[in-house]
Amino acid sequence: MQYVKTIWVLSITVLTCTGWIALEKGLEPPKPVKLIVPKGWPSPVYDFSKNPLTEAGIELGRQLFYDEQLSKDGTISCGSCHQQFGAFNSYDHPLSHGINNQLTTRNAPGLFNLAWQKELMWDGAILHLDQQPLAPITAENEMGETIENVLIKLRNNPAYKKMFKASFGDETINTQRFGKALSQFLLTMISSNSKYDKVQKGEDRFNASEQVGYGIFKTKCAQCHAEPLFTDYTYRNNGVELDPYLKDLGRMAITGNAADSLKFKVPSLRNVQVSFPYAHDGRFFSLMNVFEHYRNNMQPGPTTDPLLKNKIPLSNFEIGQLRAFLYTLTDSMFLKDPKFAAPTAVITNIPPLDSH
Amino acid sequence: MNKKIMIGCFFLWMALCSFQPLPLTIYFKFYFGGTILNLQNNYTTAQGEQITINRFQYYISAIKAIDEKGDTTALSNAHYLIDISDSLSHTIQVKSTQKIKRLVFTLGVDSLLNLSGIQTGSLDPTKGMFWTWRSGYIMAKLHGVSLQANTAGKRFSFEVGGFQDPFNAVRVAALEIEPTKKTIQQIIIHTDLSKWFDAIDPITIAQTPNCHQPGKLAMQLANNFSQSFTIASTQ
Ligand code: HEC
Ligand code: HEC
Repeated sequence: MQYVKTIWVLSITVLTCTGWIALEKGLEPPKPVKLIVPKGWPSPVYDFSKNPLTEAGIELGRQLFYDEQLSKDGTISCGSCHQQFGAFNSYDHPLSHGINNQLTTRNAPGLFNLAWQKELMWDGAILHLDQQPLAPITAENEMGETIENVLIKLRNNPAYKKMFKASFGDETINTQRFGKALSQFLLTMISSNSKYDKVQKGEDRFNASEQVGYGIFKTKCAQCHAEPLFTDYTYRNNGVELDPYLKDLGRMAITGNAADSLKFKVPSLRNVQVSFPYAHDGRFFSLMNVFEHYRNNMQPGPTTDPLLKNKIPLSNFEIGQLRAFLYTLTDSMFLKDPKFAAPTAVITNIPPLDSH
Repeated sequence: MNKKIMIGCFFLWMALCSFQPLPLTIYFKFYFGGTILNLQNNYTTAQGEQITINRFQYYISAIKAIDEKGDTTALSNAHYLIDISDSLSHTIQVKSTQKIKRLVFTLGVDSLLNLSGIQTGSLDPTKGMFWTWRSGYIMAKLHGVSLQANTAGKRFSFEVGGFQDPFNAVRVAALEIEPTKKTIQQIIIHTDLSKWFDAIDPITIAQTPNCHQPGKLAMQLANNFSQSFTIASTQ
């Protein structure tokens, strides 16, 4: 009698266990992707342990990045303002266009090497990459939408349900997963294949002008635009005057400290050849404008960086050499990499994923 | 014999499994001065301004008890979003403990959670308590209408946040409790919204109808708000 009971208990346990295992089997774990840190670079600041990269997650992030449903009227995606051929800036636009013909109040910076960037935006307003998408989505003059509505649109889309399941284990679509997926895509956007990088690796050589330009750069620019990322991510006033219409005080808006007036994040100079117009409000149309700013036009004020109190003396010859060097920072592989381009299949046309 | 021991063990195990200490239930009730707050009613602030309140939400977290010996027991590590329009949120259940002399809780969101990605549950940004243009939670929100507000629709809107010095708007409330012999299972806390306008720093809507970023005004409002809580009764 006792044996019978034991057998019963045992068989029930075994049955439930196998049933459970069978259920789990339907779901392949997402394939992990390892982020390769370019040689000589510091370690990334993004905490990958909380958001491990996977193939499915990165692909989901790419779909979201190029999805116009993220805006209120379905006309603007992240990719509308961040264009690959301009290193993900708003190509040739001092300010970018949001919904209903509205303009942003700042220049859209290029997007690359974000895993190394602790604070985002020209004034460091955003402190975590996952939180970044919430800003343009809810800004009235950008995508003009609510997070709740975006999530509803995604939840109503069977293709997205499958992609979230493939990336995170179940079909739940919430703000956290949305932010994580976009980050996964953004984090893979690494630009480290310029001529400069090849020279550093010993695979290529600078020509004479580039070499001279590199020397000038190291003495006059690298204090702020520090290698290998070509920024030290600090906030500085490089002598820009207050724009009377935009009245943008930069970092001061975040800290409330007058000493931070007109300070902006030092931008990376990687891909600078294609990321015009320049500076936080796109006020410089060309590199020539920038050079003229540093050697002549800048207005040293009370918060201007001490390094620039006497402007930066640059001869015409030096400008030519500097320009030659800056062009070696163009990463044409990055600018054309199909991994970062809009997905060929629009999400609604995607064949259902094979989930056995 | 063997069988009896096994059955005995089984019941003991069942009993242990089902045993859970009774929780402590905290009820929040809302007042304006001496009267129970009603969202439709008109109230007069200490500065003589006429107001109607239509939204009031705030976070509380890190609920702790301090006993007579000064020892601290954590009662809950969760973040609760209390919303005057959502009566379910007015009651929270936490762990109970003996000999509570002081109930302590944080008004606001743990600083680390402001800058480590996106949170879920009560801290999900869809709750409308996360600034999207800059990282950080709105710790407390008070919206309403006032004859004295020189704004569109006569609206005033106080959104108190900021978690970094020198404008850290997180506050701690510490409420004394009459010592009792038995374990307290129920605490009723009165939240007096009139304190927003005068508890420490006098606030006039005519002068400052809006607070939407960390700074001096947010700090003053946080100071005032932190004085809103009193223990009405315990059981
Ligand atoms: C309407 C144009 C527009 C749209 C749409 C837009 N952005 Fe931006 N983006 C900008 C501008 C302008 C800035 C700089 C704003 C600032 O510094 O205040 C920016 C900044 C950023 C930054 C910070 C870069 C840095 O170096 O600090 C990231 C990351 C980013 N955007 C990602 C996104 C993502 C993801 C989306 C889609 C959810 C998106 N953007 C949608 C215009 C846009
Ligand atoms: C004291 C620090 C500092 C030094 C030195 C400095 N810069 Fe800058 N640079 C900045 C800051 C800050 C900005 C952003 C200004 C803004 O947005 O208003 C900037 C912007 C730029 C930009 C615009 C990039 C973009 O994508 O918008 C270029 C190009 C540039 N600098 C080139 C140079 C060159 C070339 C030198 C050396 C001759 C140099 N900088 C020296 C701080 C510095």
